[in-house]
Amino acid sequence: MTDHDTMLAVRNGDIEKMGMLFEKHHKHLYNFFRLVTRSREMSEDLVNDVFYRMLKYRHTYRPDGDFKPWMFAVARNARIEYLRSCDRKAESLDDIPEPVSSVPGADKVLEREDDNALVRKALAALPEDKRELLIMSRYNHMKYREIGEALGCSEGTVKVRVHRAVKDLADIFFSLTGDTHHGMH
Amino acid sequence: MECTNIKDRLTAYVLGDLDPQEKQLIDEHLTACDECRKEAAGIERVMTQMSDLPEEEPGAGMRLRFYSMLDDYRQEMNSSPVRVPLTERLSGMVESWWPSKPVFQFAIAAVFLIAGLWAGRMSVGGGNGNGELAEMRSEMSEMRQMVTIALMNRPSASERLRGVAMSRDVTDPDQQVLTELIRTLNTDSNVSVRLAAVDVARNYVDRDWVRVELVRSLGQQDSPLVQVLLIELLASIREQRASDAFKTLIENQDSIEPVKKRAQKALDTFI
Repeated sequence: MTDHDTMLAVRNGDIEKMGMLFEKHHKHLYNFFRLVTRSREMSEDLVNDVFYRMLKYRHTYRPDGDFKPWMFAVARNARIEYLRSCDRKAESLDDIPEPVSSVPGADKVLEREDDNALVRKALAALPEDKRELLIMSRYNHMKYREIGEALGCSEGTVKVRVHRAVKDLADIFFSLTGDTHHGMH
Repeated sequence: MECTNIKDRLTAYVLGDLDPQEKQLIDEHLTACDECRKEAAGIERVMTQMSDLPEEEPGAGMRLRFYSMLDDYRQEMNSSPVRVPLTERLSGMVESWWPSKPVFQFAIAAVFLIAGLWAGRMSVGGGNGNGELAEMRSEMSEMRQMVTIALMNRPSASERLRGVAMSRDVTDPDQQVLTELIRTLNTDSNVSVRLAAVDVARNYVDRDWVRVELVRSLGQQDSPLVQVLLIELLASIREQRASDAFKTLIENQDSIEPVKKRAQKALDTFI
């Protein structure tokens, strides 16, 4: 049964089927939030919130719709409202610290952090909306069309914005490495 | 190609978002140009890490929390009379008096049929009591429409099938019945129900809205049986607006041969 069919069944009253959607999607949704918000606690709250909202607003799920984009649209709204209500915008809660090399003491010895750690630092330095876009595209593997549906904009716009976000990410990454990665001509 | 032009397209190139011609142009440029190749490699280096982001297992508490929330929600749903949309309310109503045994279901459907026929015969007689009769007939029609809609939302496919069939007997269906019919056509999980919906929709192609929805539906169907039936219907009513949908089906790799042939045949008759 596709996610779409399952959600339609939930819409029609078979709310137990929401369990199937939970089992399938909760991990990726959790990690989406975690990578964007950098807070584990907030991410767990948000996942629960998203599933509650999908239940509560199940009547708004369209028969001609697509599940994944709808879920992400709900996810974005949930996050925006969460920030408003808890007034956490100022705090930028980071209970996930900046990545450092994992071997204790070795950070004194190692001169450079590895690429992965640097990319995560660069991601953290991006504005949230760009980070969110990159994660939806490259971690959650959403197609541009699906992201457009979730965000309410055209596929073309999404493509352009993702490209810009990648370019920004690369610029920050290379400024962190101290390499000059391209002649700026 | 100028480096300045290339640089703008390098991100798209690395992400694989370019069409083959542009990609090839850049491939060629990169074989010759060190600067651009270095920049592309840089973007590639970053994107490799993006595919390798750390993934965590959420705490066990999250699952517990979800199922407990679901429990609470279910209880709340069952106890309080929340404002429920029409389809669910009707479905609930039907559940309360629509018998579960097919024998009795048939009996009730027969009662409706007989009552409808009787009302029809009486009106032919004309003369006195016409006002009352008209009122009763319109009430009957409304009732039938409500039952039809409710049936189309039942969990059992055979009931939905019956609902679709009944909608054919509604003399002047209001928008709600037709909307429900189209929704069934587009989303019912059972192919037979969808096929029946196409059949019934045939009776309402005088309404432009229905024709538009049928074209739209063709674009969404994945069952070849339904696709073919829709193609035939759209061809028979000479719905020119379906041409694009036909073309898409023909060009789509996932369509099976008989569907493509049928679509081509229909397209040929349009020209």
